[in-house]
Amino acid sequence: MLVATVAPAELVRIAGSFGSSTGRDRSRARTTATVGVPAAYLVVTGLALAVVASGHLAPDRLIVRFTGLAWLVIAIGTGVGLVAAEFALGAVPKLLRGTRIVRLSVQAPAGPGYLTSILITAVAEELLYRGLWIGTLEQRLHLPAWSAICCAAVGYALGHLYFGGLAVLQKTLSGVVFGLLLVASGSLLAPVLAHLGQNLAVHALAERQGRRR
Amino acid sequence: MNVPEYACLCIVTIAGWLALYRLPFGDPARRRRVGLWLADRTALRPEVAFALFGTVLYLLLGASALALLGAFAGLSAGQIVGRPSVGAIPALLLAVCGTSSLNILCISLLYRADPRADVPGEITRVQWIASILYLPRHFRWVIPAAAAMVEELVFRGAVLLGLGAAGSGFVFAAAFSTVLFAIGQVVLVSTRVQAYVLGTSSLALGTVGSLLVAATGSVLPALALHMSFAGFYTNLSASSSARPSTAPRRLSL
Repeated sequence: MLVATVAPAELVRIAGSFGSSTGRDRSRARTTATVGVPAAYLVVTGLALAVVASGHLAPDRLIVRFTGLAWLVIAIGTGVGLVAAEFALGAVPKLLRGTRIVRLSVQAPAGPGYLTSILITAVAEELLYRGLWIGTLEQRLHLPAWSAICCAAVGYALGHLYFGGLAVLQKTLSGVVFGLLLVASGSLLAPVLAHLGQNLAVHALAERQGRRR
Repeated sequence: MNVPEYACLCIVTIAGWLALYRLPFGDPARRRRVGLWLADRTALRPEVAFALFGTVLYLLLGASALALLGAFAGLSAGQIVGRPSVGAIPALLLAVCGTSSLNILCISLLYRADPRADVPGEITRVQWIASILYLPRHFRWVIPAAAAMVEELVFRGAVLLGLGAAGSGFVFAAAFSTVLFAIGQVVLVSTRVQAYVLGTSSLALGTVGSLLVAATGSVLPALALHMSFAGFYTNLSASSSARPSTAPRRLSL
Protein backbone atom coordinates (compact mmCIF):
# COMPACT_ATOMS: atom_id res chain seq x y z
CA MET A 1 0.00 0.00 0.00
CA LEU A 2 2.81 2.42 0.94
CA VAL A 3 4.89 1.70 -2.19
CA ALA A 4 1.86 2.07 -4.47
CA THR A 5 0.77 5.46 -3.12
CA VAL A 6 3.98 7.52 -3.30
CA ALA A 7 3.05 9.96 -6.04
CA PRO A 8 -0.55 9.67 -7.32
CA ALA A 9 -0.37 13.12 -8.96
CA GLU A 10 2.19 11.76 -11.44
CA LEU A 11 -0.61 9.64 -12.97
CA VAL A 12 -2.02 12.74 -14.65
CA ARG A 13 1.08 12.88 -16.83
CA ILE A 14 -0.22 9.79 -18.64
CA ALA A 15 -3.26 11.82 -19.69
CA GLY A 16 -0.84 14.53 -20.83
CA SER A 17 0.86 12.17 -23.25
CA PHE A 18 -2.26 11.50 -25.32
CA GLY A 19 -3.16 13.76 -28.22
CA SER A 20 -1.39 16.79 -29.64
CA SER A 21 -0.38 19.51 -27.18
CA THR A 22 0.11 22.31 -29.72
CA GLY A 23 -1.77 25.46 -28.74
CA ARG A 24 -3.67 23.78 -25.92
CA ASP A 25 -1.06 23.71 -23.16
CA ARG A 26 -2.71 26.34 -20.94
CA SER A 27 -6.15 24.76 -21.15
CA ARG A 28 -4.68 21.32 -20.50
CA ALA A 29 -2.70 22.53 -17.49
CA ARG A 30 -5.88 24.00 -16.02
CA THR A 31 -7.84 20.80 -16.61
CA THR A 32 -5.00 18.80 -15.08
CA ALA A 33 -4.99 20.98 -11.97
CA THR A 34 -8.76 21.10 -11.46
CA VAL A 35 -9.79 17.60 -12.53
CA GLY A 36 -6.80 15.31 -13.01
CA VAL A 37 -4.94 15.76 -9.72
CA PRO A 38 -7.96 15.42 -7.37
CA ALA A 39 -9.27 12.50 -9.44
CA ALA A 40 -5.90 10.72 -9.15
CA TYR A 41 -5.77 11.29 -5.38
CA LEU A 42 -9.39 10.17 -4.90
CA VAL A 43 -8.91 6.97 -6.92
CA VAL A 44 -5.64 6.02 -5.23
CA THR A 45 -6.88 6.89 -1.72
CA GLY A 46 -10.11 4.98 -2.31
CA LEU A 47 -8.21 1.91 -3.51
CA ALA A 48 -5.75 2.10 -0.60
CA LEU A 49 -8.66 2.32 1.88
CA ALA A 50 -10.34 -0.66 0.16
CA VAL A 51 -7.13 -2.69 0.40
CA VAL A 52 -6.61 -2.02 4.12
CA ALA A 53 -10.31 -2.57 4.85
CA SER A 54 -10.40 -5.89 2.98
CA GLY A 55 -7.33 -7.08 4.90
CA HIS A 56 -8.68 -5.78 8.26
CA LEU A 57 -5.55 -3.59 8.46
CA ALA A 58 -7.17 -0.15 8.91
CA PRO A 59 -4.93 1.80 11.31
CA ASP A 60 -6.25 3.70 14.35
CA ARG A 61 -4.82 6.97 12.95
CA LEU A 62 -7.73 7.07 10.49
CA ILE A 63 -10.06 7.95 13.38
CA VAL A 64 -11.67 11.38 13.03
CA ARG A 65 -13.10 12.80 16.28
CA PHE A 66 -13.67 16.24 17.73
CA THR A 67 -10.89 16.96 20.23
CA GLY A 68 -12.00 20.41 21.40
CA LEU A 69 -12.33 23.95 20.08
CA ALA A 70 -8.70 24.76 20.95
CA TRP A 71 -7.38 22.15 18.50
CA LEU A 72 -9.74 23.49 15.84
CA VAL A 73 -8.28 27.00 16.20
CA ILE A 74 -4.68 25.73 16.45
CA ALA A 75 -5.13 23.57 13.32
CA ILE A 76 -6.56 26.34 11.14
CA GLY A 77 -4.00 28.85 12.45
CA THR A 78 -1.16 26.42 11.77
CA GLY A 79 -2.42 25.83 8.24
CA VAL A 80 -2.48 29.57 7.46
CA GLY A 81 0.91 29.98 9.13
CA LEU A 82 2.33 27.23 6.93
CA VAL A 83 1.61 29.36 3.86
CA ALA A 84 4.00 31.98 5.25
CA ALA A 85 6.52 29.28 6.16
CA GLU A 86 6.42 27.84 2.63
CA PHE A 87 6.87 31.34 1.14
CA ALA A 88 9.84 31.91 3.47
CA LEU A 89 11.40 28.60 2.42
CA GLY A 90 10.81 29.50 -1.22
CA ALA A 91 12.56 32.84 -0.73
CA VAL A 92 15.74 31.30 0.72
CA PRO A 93 17.35 30.31 -2.64
CA LYS A 94 16.68 33.83 -4.04
CA LEU A 95 18.11 35.53 -0.95
CA LEU A 96 21.17 33.27 -1.12
CA ARG A 97 21.67 34.34 -4.75
CA GLY A 98 21.79 37.96 -3.56
CA THR A 99 18.30 39.13 -4.62
CA ARG A 100 17.37 42.05 -2.37
CA ILE A 101 13.68 42.41 -3.17
CA VAL A 102 11.85 39.12 -3.28
CA ARG A 103 8.45 39.08 -4.98
CA LEU A 104 6.49 35.95 -4.38
CA SER A 105 3.59 34.76 -6.46
CA VAL A 106 1.08 31.94 -6.15
CA GLN A 107 1.31 29.26 -8.85
CA ALA A 108 -2.41 28.54 -8.78
CA PRO A 109 -5.31 29.50 -11.02
CA ALA A 110 -8.15 31.21 -9.14
CA GLY A 111 -11.77 30.14 -9.53
CA PRO A 112 -14.45 27.93 -7.94
CA GLY A 113 -13.37 24.80 -9.88
CA TYR A 114 -9.84 25.07 -8.60
CA LEU A 115 -11.05 25.80 -5.05
CA THR A 116 -13.15 22.61 -5.05
CA SER A 117 -10.27 20.58 -6.41
CA ILE A 118 -7.74 21.74 -3.79
CA LEU A 119 -10.21 21.09 -0.96
CA ILE A 120 -10.94 17.55 -2.22
CA THR A 121 -7.21 16.90 -2.72
CA ALA A 122 -6.41 18.15 0.79
CA VAL A 123 -8.85 15.70 2.42
CA ALA A 124 -7.62 12.80 0.24
CA GLU A 125 -3.96 13.61 1.01
CA GLU A 126 -4.60 13.70 4.76
CA LEU A 127 -6.47 10.37 4.68
CA LEU A 128 -3.64 8.86 2.67
CA TYR A 129 -0.42 10.29 4.11
CA ARG A 130 -1.38 11.05 7.70
CA GLY A 131 -4.14 8.49 8.40
CA LEU A 132 -2.92 5.53 6.35
CA TRP A 133 0.82 6.12 6.07
CA ILE A 134 1.58 7.21 9.65
CA GLY A 135 -0.89 4.66 11.06
CA THR A 136 0.53 1.79 9.00
CA LEU A 137 4.17 2.72 9.66
CA GLU A 138 3.50 2.88 13.40
CA GLN A 139 1.18 -0.11 13.79
CA ARG A 140 2.42 -2.56 11.14
CA LEU A 141 6.09 -1.67 10.72
CA HIS A 142 6.50 -0.55 14.38
CA LEU A 143 8.33 2.68 13.54
CA PRO A 144 8.48 5.37 16.25
CA ALA A 145 6.06 8.27 15.73
CA TRP A 146 8.76 10.81 14.67
CA SER A 147 10.11 8.40 12.07
CA ALA A 148 6.63 7.62 10.73
CA ILE A 149 5.89 11.38 10.51
CA CYS A 150 9.09 12.02 8.53
CA CYS A 151 8.52 9.07 6.14
CA ALA A 152 4.93 10.16 5.52
CA ALA A 153 6.07 13.77 4.94
CA VAL A 154 8.60 12.65 2.32
CA GLY A 155 5.98 10.43 0.63
CA TYR A 156 3.55 13.36 0.61
CA ALA A 157 6.21 15.77 -0.69
CA LEU A 158 7.28 13.48 -3.55
CA GLY A 159 3.71 13.72 -4.84
CA HIS A 160 4.45 17.42 -5.49
CA LEU A 161 7.48 16.88 -7.74
CA TYR A 162 5.06 17.79 -10.53
CA PHE A 163 5.34 21.44 -9.28
CA GLY A 164 9.15 21.46 -9.06
CA GLY A 165 12.01 20.56 -6.73
CA LEU A 166 11.43 23.52 -4.38
CA ALA A 167 7.81 22.43 -3.89
CA VAL A 168 9.08 19.07 -2.61
CA LEU A 169 11.07 20.84 0.14
CA GLN A 170 8.15 23.12 1.01
CA LYS A 171 5.74 20.20 1.21
CA THR A 172 8.13 18.15 3.33
CA LEU A 173 7.96 20.95 5.91
CA SER A 174 4.15 21.06 5.70
CA GLY A 175 3.96 17.27 5.88
CA VAL A 176 6.00 17.17 9.09
CA VAL A 177 3.77 19.84 10.68
CA PHE A 178 0.56 18.03 9.64
CA GLY A 179 2.00 14.80 11.06
CA LEU A 180 2.84 16.50 14.36
CA LEU A 181 -0.71 17.86 14.53
CA LEU A 182 -2.10 14.33 14.04
CA VAL A 183 0.05 12.80 16.76
CA ALA A 184 -0.38 15.70 19.20
CA SER A 185 -4.16 16.01 18.82
CA GLY A 186 -4.87 12.27 18.45
CA SER A 187 -7.36 12.92 15.66
CA LEU A 188 -7.15 13.15 11.88
CA LEU A 189 -9.46 16.16 12.08
CA ALA A 190 -6.60 18.50 13.08
CA PRO A 191 -4.34 17.91 10.03
CA VAL A 192 -7.40 17.90 7.73
CA LEU A 193 -8.47 21.33 9.05
CA ALA A 194 -4.90 22.65 8.88
CA HIS A 195 -4.54 21.47 5.29
CA LEU A 196 -7.93 22.97 4.34
CA GLY A 197 -6.89 26.24 6.04
CA GLN A 198 -3.61 26.28 4.12
CA ASN A 199 -5.29 25.62 0.76
CA LEU A 200 -8.00 28.24 1.41
CA ALA A 201 -5.32 30.81 2.26
CA VAL A 202 -3.41 29.98 -0.94
CA HIS A 203 -6.62 30.29 -2.94
CA ALA A 204 -7.41 33.67 -1.36
CA LEU A 205 -3.92 34.88 -2.33
CA ALA A 206 -4.43 33.58 -5.88
CA GLU A 207 -7.73 35.48 -6.13
CA ARG A 208 -6.04 38.66 -4.88
CA GLN A 209 -3.15 38.19 -7.31
CA GLY A 210 -5.63 37.66 -10.16
CA ARG A 211 -7.51 40.91 -9.33
CA ARG A 212 -4.24 42.91 -9.30
CA ARG A 213 -3.36 41.70 -12.78
CA MET B 1 18.10 -27.44 -2.48
CA ASN B 2 19.16 -24.69 -0.06
CA VAL B 3 18.79 -20.92 -0.66
CA PRO B 4 22.33 -20.10 -1.94
CA GLU B 5 22.31 -23.06 -4.33
CA TYR B 6 18.88 -22.19 -5.69
CA ALA B 7 19.87 -18.48 -6.02
CA CYS B 8 22.97 -19.50 -8.03
CA LEU B 9 20.84 -21.80 -10.21
CA CYS B 10 18.46 -18.88 -10.89
CA ILE B 11 21.35 -16.63 -11.92
CA VAL B 12 22.87 -19.25 -14.24
CA THR B 13 19.51 -20.20 -15.81
CA ILE B 14 18.43 -16.61 -16.46
CA ALA B 15 21.88 -15.61 -17.73
CA GLY B 16 21.69 -18.59 -20.10
CA TRP B 17 18.20 -17.56 -21.28
CA LEU B 18 19.24 -14.00 -22.04
CA ALA B 19 22.63 -14.98 -23.53
CA LEU B 20 21.04 -17.50 -25.92
CA TYR B 21 18.48 -14.87 -26.94
CA ARG B 22 20.82 -11.93 -27.29
CA LEU B 23 24.35 -13.03 -28.20
CA PRO B 24 23.75 -14.87 -31.52
CA PHE B 25 21.86 -11.86 -32.87
CA GLY B 26 23.95 -8.98 -31.50
CA ASP B 27 25.51 -8.47 -34.94
CA PRO B 28 23.17 -6.46 -37.25
CA ALA B 29 24.55 -8.21 -40.35
CA ARG B 30 23.71 -11.60 -38.89
CA ARG B 31 20.24 -10.37 -37.92
CA ARG B 32 19.69 -9.26 -41.51
CA ARG B 33 20.91 -12.60 -42.89
CA VAL B 34 18.61 -14.55 -40.56
CA GLY B 35 15.72 -12.22 -41.47
CA LEU B 36 16.31 -12.81 -45.21
CA TRP B 37 16.59 -16.57 -44.66
CA LEU B 38 13.31 -16.60 -42.74
CA ALA B 39 11.64 -14.31 -45.32
CA ASP B 40 12.54 -16.78 -48.10
CA ARG B 41 10.73 -19.57 -46.25
CA THR B 42 7.71 -17.68 -44.90
CA ALA B 43 6.86 -15.09 -47.58
CA LEU B 44 6.96 -12.42 -44.85
CA ARG B 45 9.04 -9.24 -44.98
CA PRO B 46 12.54 -9.90 -43.49
CA GLU B 47 12.07 -7.51 -40.54
CA VAL B 48 8.63 -8.97 -39.72
CA ALA B 49 9.93 -12.54 -39.98
CA PHE B 50 12.88 -11.74 -37.72
CA ALA B 51 10.67 -9.96 -35.15
CA LEU B 52 8.37 -13.01 -34.93
CA PHE B 53 11.35 -15.37 -34.74
CA GLY B 54 12.97 -13.29 -31.95
CA THR B 55 9.73 -13.26 -29.96
CA VAL B 56 9.16 -17.01 -30.29
CA LEU B 57 12.79 -17.68 -29.33
CA TYR B 58 12.52 -15.41 -26.24
CA LEU B 59 9.28 -17.07 -25.12
CA LEU B 60 10.54 -20.63 -25.68
CA LEU B 61 13.81 -19.97 -23.83
CA GLY B 62 11.86 -18.31 -20.99
CA ALA B 63 9.46 -21.27 -20.80
CA SER B 64 12.46 -23.63 -20.65
CA ALA B 65 13.99 -21.57 -17.83
CA LEU B 66 10.64 -21.72 -15.99
CA ALA B 67 10.39 -25.51 -16.38
CA LEU B 68 13.98 -26.02 -15.21
CA LEU B 69 13.67 -23.77 -12.14
CA GLY B 70 10.24 -25.19 -11.28
CA ALA B 71 11.63 -28.73 -11.42
CA PHE B 72 14.60 -27.91 -9.16
CA ALA B 73 12.39 -25.99 -6.69
CA GLY B 74 9.87 -28.84 -6.64
CA LEU B 75 7.02 -26.47 -7.56
CA SER B 76 4.10 -27.65 -9.67
CA ALA B 77 2.36 -25.35 -12.19
CA GLY B 78 -0.54 -24.97 -9.75
CA GLN B 79 1.80 -23.94 -6.93
CA ILE B 80 3.59 -21.41 -9.16
CA VAL B 81 0.35 -19.79 -10.37
CA GLY B 82 -1.66 -20.10 -7.14
CA ARG B 83 -5.24 -18.95 -6.59
CA PRO B 84 -5.86 -15.26 -5.82
CA SER B 85 -7.96 -14.23 -2.83
CA VAL B 86 -11.18 -12.19 -3.20
CA GLY B 87 -9.42 -9.03 -2.01
CA ALA B 88 -7.02 -9.25 -4.96
CA ILE B 89 -9.00 -6.90 -7.24
CA PRO B 90 -8.54 -3.62 -5.27
CA ALA B 91 -4.94 -4.66 -4.55
CA LEU B 92 -4.35 -5.20 -8.28
CA LEU B 93 -5.93 -1.85 -9.20
CA LEU B 94 -3.86 -0.07 -6.54
CA ALA B 95 -0.75 -1.84 -7.84
CA VAL B 96 -1.53 -0.71 -11.41
CA CYS B 97 -1.84 2.94 -10.25
CA GLY B 98 1.20 2.64 -7.98
CA THR B 99 3.51 1.09 -10.58
CA SER B 100 2.53 3.70 -13.16
CA SER B 101 3.00 6.62 -10.77
CA LEU B 102 6.39 5.29 -9.59
CA ASN B 103 7.46 4.81 -13.20
CA ILE B 104 6.43 8.34 -14.17
CA LEU B 105 8.05 9.73 -11.01
CA CYS B 106 11.38 8.17 -12.07
CA ILE B 107 10.99 9.59 -15.60
CA SER B 108 10.16 13.02 -14.10
CA LEU B 109 13.43 12.84 -12.13
CA LEU B 110 15.27 12.02 -15.38
CA TYR B 111 13.70 15.04 -17.09
CA ARG B 112 14.79 17.20 -14.14
CA ALA B 113 18.38 16.00 -14.59
CA ASP B 114 18.30 16.19 -18.39
CA PRO B 115 15.37 18.23 -19.80
CA ARG B 116 16.35 17.35 -23.37
CA ALA B 117 16.14 13.58 -22.88
CA ASP B 118 13.93 11.92 -25.51
CA VAL B 119 12.40 9.09 -23.49
CA PRO B 120 9.77 7.93 -26.05
CA GLY B 121 12.39 7.93 -28.82
CA GLU B 122 14.90 6.03 -26.70
CA ILE B 123 12.34 3.40 -25.70
CA THR B 124 11.28 2.77 -29.29
CA ARG B 125 14.98 2.31 -30.18
CA VAL B 126 15.33 -0.57 -27.70
CA GLN B 127 16.10 -3.46 -30.05
CA TRP B 128 13.19 -5.75 -29.21
CA ILE B 129 10.68 -2.88 -29.12
CA ALA B 130 11.98 -1.52 -32.43
CA SER B 131 11.55 -4.96 -33.99
CA ILE B 132 7.90 -5.35 -32.93
CA LEU B 133 7.05 -1.92 -34.37
CA TYR B 134 7.46 -3.56 -37.80
CA LEU B 135 4.53 -5.84 -36.99
CA PRO B 136 0.81 -5.04 -37.40
CA ARG B 137 -0.55 -2.70 -34.70
CA HIS B 138 -2.30 -5.32 -32.51
CA PHE B 139 1.02 -7.19 -32.13
CA ARG B 140 2.26 -4.19 -30.13
CA TRP B 141 -0.08 -5.37 -27.37
CA VAL B 142 0.19 -9.13 -27.85
CA ILE B 143 3.99 -9.49 -27.90
CA PRO B 144 4.87 -7.32 -24.85
CA ALA B 145 2.01 -9.02 -22.94
CA ALA B 146 3.24 -12.52 -23.89
CA ALA B 147 6.83 -11.64 -22.93
CA ALA B 148 5.54 -10.15 -19.65
CA MET B 149 3.60 -13.34 -18.90
CA VAL B 150 6.69 -15.54 -19.27
CA GLU B 151 8.87 -13.08 -17.31
CA GLU B 152 6.37 -12.89 -14.48
CA LEU B 153 6.02 -16.66 -14.24
CA VAL B 154 9.83 -16.96 -14.13
CA PHE B 155 10.70 -14.09 -11.77
CA ARG B 156 7.70 -13.89 -9.43
CA GLY B 157 6.77 -17.56 -9.88
CA ALA B 158 9.86 -19.74 -10.12
CA VAL B 159 12.43 -17.37 -8.56
CA LEU B 160 10.40 -15.68 -5.77
CA LEU B 161 8.28 -18.69 -4.78
CA GLY B 162 11.18 -21.09 -5.43
CA LEU B 163 13.39 -19.17 -3.01
CA GLY B 164 10.52 -19.22 -0.51
CA ALA B 165 10.19 -22.99 -0.94
CA ALA B 166 13.96 -23.32 -0.41
CA GLY B 167 13.60 -21.57 2.96
CA SER B 168 14.38 -17.93 2.16
CA GLY B 169 12.63 -15.04 3.91
CA PHE B 170 10.27 -12.85 1.87
CA VAL B 171 12.48 -9.73 1.88
CA PHE B 172 15.52 -11.53 0.43
CA ALA B 173 13.42 -13.45 -2.12
CA ALA B 174 11.62 -10.27 -3.25
CA ALA B 175 14.84 -8.22 -3.46
CA PHE B 176 16.70 -11.00 -5.29
CA SER B 177 13.95 -11.63 -7.86
CA THR B 178 13.45 -7.90 -8.41
CA VAL B 179 17.15 -7.12 -8.90
CA LEU B 180 17.62 -10.15 -11.16
CA PHE B 181 14.62 -9.04 -13.24
CA ALA B 182 15.93 -5.46 -13.51
CA ILE B 183 19.43 -6.67 -14.54
CA GLY B 184 17.80 -8.93 -17.11
CA GLN B 185 16.04 -5.91 -18.64
CA VAL B 186 19.06 -3.60 -18.50
CA VAL B 187 21.39 -6.03 -20.32
CA LEU B 188 19.03 -5.96 -23.32
CA VAL B 189 19.44 -2.20 -23.92
CA SER B 190 22.20 -0.12 -25.44
CA THR B 191 22.07 3.46 -24.05
CA ARG B 192 22.11 5.05 -20.58
CA VAL B 193 18.62 6.54 -20.91
CA GLN B 194 17.20 3.17 -21.99
CA ALA B 195 18.99 1.49 -19.06
CA TYR B 196 17.66 4.08 -16.58
CA VAL B 197 14.06 3.93 -17.82
CA LEU B 198 13.86 0.15 -18.13
CA GLY B 199 15.91 -0.38 -14.95
CA THR B 200 13.76 1.87 -12.75
CA SER B 201 10.49 0.61 -14.25
CA SER B 202 11.66 -2.98 -13.69
CA LEU B 203 12.54 -2.21 -10.07
CA ALA B 204 9.11 -0.63 -9.53
CA LEU B 205 7.34 -3.50 -11.29
CA GLY B 206 9.38 -6.13 -9.45
CA THR B 207 8.84 -4.57 -6.02
CA VAL B 208 5.09 -4.03 -6.47
CA GLY B 209 4.71 -7.43 -8.17
CA SER B 210 6.47 -9.25 -5.31
CA LEU B 211 4.32 -7.47 -2.72
CA LEU B 212 1.22 -8.30 -4.76
CA VAL B 213 2.16 -12.01 -4.81
CA ALA B 214 2.61 -11.90 -1.03
CA ALA B 215 -0.65 -10.00 -0.46
CA THR B 216 -2.86 -12.09 -2.76
CA GLY B 217 -1.19 -15.53 -2.54
CA SER B 218 -1.03 -15.85 -6.32
CA VAL B 219 1.12 -14.82 -9.29
CA LEU B 220 -1.99 -14.07 -11.39
CA PRO B 221 -2.55 -10.43 -10.20
CA ALA B 222 1.16 -9.67 -10.69
CA LEU B 223 0.92 -11.27 -14.12
CA ALA B 224 -2.06 -9.06 -15.04
CA LEU B 225 -0.16 -6.01 -13.73
CA HIS B 226 2.97 -6.78 -15.76
CA MET B 227 1.08 -7.66 -18.98
CA SER B 228 -1.00 -4.46 -18.89
CA PHE B 229 2.05 -2.35 -17.97
CA ALA B 230 4.25 -3.75 -20.77
CA GLY B 231 1.52 -3.49 -23.42
CA PHE B 232 0.44 -0.01 -22.39
CA TYR B 233 3.90 1.58 -22.18
CA THR B 234 5.15 -0.02 -25.40
CA ASN B 235 2.17 1.48 -27.23
CA LEU B 236 2.45 4.81 -25.43
CA SER B 237 6.13 5.16 -26.32
CA ALA B 238 5.46 4.19 -29.93
CA SER B 239 2.61 6.69 -30.32
CA SER B 240 4.48 9.50 -28.50
CA SER B 241 7.60 8.90 -30.56
CA ALA B 242 5.65 8.89 -33.84
CA ARG B 243 4.08 12.28 -33.04
CA PRO B 244 5.67 15.44 -34.52
CA SER B 245 8.15 16.95 -32.07
CA THR B 246 6.78 19.70 -29.82
CA ALA B 247 9.87 20.02 -27.59
CA PRO B 248 10.15 20.22 -24.66
CA ARG B 249 7.84 17.20 -24.28
CA ARG B 250 7.96 17.04 -20.51
CA LEU B 251 4.43 15.78 -20.10
CA SER B 252 4.99 12.90 -22.48
CA LEU B 253 6.44 9.52 -21.69
